[in-house]
Amino acid sequence: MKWFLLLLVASGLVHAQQVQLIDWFAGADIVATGDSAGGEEIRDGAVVREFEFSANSQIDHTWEGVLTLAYHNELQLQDEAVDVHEAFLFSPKIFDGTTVKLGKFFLGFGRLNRFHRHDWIFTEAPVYHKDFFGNEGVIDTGAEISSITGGDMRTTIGIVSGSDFVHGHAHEEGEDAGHDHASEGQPYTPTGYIRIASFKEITTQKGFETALNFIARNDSEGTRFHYAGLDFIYKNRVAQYVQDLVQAEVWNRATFEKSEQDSIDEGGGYLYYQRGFNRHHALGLRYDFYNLELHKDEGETHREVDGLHLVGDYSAYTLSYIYTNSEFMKTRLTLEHSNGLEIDEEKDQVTRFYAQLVFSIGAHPAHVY
Amino acid sequence: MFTKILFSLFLLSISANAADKLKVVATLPELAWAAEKIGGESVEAISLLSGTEDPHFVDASPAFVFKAAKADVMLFNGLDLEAGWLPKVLQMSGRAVIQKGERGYCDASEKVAKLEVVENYDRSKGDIHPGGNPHYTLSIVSMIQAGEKIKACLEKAKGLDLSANFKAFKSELEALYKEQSAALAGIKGKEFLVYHREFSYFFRDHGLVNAGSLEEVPGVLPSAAYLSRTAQAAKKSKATLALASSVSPRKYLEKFKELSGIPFLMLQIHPMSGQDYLEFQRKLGKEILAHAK
Repeated sequence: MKWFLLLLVASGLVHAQQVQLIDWFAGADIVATGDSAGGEEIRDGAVVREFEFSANSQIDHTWEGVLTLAYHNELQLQDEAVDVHEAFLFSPKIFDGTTVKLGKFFLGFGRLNRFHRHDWIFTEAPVYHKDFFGNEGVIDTGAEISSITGGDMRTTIGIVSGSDFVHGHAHEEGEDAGHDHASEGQPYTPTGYIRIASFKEITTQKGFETALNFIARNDSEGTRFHYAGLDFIYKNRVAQYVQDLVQAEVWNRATFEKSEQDSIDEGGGYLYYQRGFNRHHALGLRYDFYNLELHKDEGETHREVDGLHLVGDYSAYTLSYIYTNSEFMKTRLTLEHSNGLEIDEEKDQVTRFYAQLVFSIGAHPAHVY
Repeated sequence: MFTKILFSLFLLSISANAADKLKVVATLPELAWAAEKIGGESVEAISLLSGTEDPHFVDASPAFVFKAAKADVMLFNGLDLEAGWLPKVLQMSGRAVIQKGERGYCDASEKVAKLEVVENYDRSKGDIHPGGNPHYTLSIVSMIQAGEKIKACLEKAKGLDLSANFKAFKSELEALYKEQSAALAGIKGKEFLVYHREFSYFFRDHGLVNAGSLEEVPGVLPSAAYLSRTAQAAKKSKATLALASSVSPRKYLEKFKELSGIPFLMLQIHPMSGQDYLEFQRKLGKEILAHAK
């Protein structure tokens, strides 16, 4: 039924393209994974992890609209879902130097959160990101304005309902936490966020962007969360390919339990370097970590994130080989070695292998910085 | 006292006029050059690209967005040359007047007589530009045609009559065309191989012949097998030189040279930012002439 709905909408939009100027895009993300641990703790297999269908067009002389339907299948969680990923309108014509966005969208903070997963430079989100923001990122409904300030800075401010924000605390076995489609109910206050970014151009093909982020939210039980983060991207493009790319994020989450003044602080981040050799071949190396606070005094033995059990501080190294057939198709082979996942009573280390195939049809993908 | 006030107002009006210049942000240096020639004193033009990049493979840099945010006119090549990045730059600039359909949105290709228009295309044909080959700025004739659109855009944005400036621009390029045609007359009808189809308009201008492309399909690196087949075919052709832009992958050109014995020439196909287009064309003609003989 879900697939039928997706195909029905897709075929309708493609048909509509014949009479109106609609750009449509369809992308798929196929992932196969295996691990060194064996057993049931980590699921192996191959799935179409994501299939997205998106259409955008001018609504009228002022507003442009974007509609995205997505199918997901998270292998580890054995969870299939079809949902409205994006349904927003935006305009760069309301205030000078400012874009306004209204509706449901990926919130404009950090680096990974602003991009669809199939556009990421690696296959899996770092574990801290999954716990803080979900497997893909936070999608919510509200308003966002993004404005150029001081000539060479960009400030993005948003306010959204807060009802779709991911929260990853699982105090009891089996609780569904860190799950993108989990419903928490309407919180008492909306979620607000701000990102202030500065870009330094070295040449037209080389530069770096640094941004500070802050998010404040409450959940439906009155727990307050403050997230503070730094994101960074450096690109050095040589003629037709990116030769050097450095991307990093560091985040801190301060959790204030109801009526508590002191916060529980948890931090995570990643540093990724990619070296391109030509338009086809590249190698990427990532280190990511997550320092989490388990409530051992309350009997919390692990934190469940993406169906996996974190038993203490987590860290991982990944090495990826990326083959780019064209702008529309990419293959990524990744080897990841991690510490901190509960494999069995004695083991907390595992080596995992991922093979990912990403492709798209339709509109030309944007070369967003 | 009254004189002082009048004098102050006069100075203010001068500075206001200077500040009132129409700000044109062009994607390519040659388009910025044309905008300044046609707009004259009333226009201030800058280019986003410096001339060393491949405009197909550029990111929507925040630096471009900041420049676009101050533009009265966004002047671009069109024919999807900037399709990967310009729409994002426009959107993120938040500048209403340069958005599609507004008075500052200027597609310079509109009046250009297009070559290699593709109907019924799909991506099996490579990174195709269905509206036509976008590399027209290498042609003096096409630059005059692009100039007509640029004139119309600037006039619309500022409410000016730029007929006299355009006439001078056209005369200057027509004189250059005659000069270049005379200089290249000795190689008229000569066959050249190209890496990417960047020279089609230039060849048309000067009666040169395209003997084939080293790319199997546009925008895609050639396979070893295709390069070998092309090298064998090239040996039997009359082509004695392969032309490529300075951003083409040298390794593939060297391999082709090794297989075919045909040398290659890598050329700057856009003027550098601030470089005079006439000087750029003369240099281009001289380099081709020197290697083609």
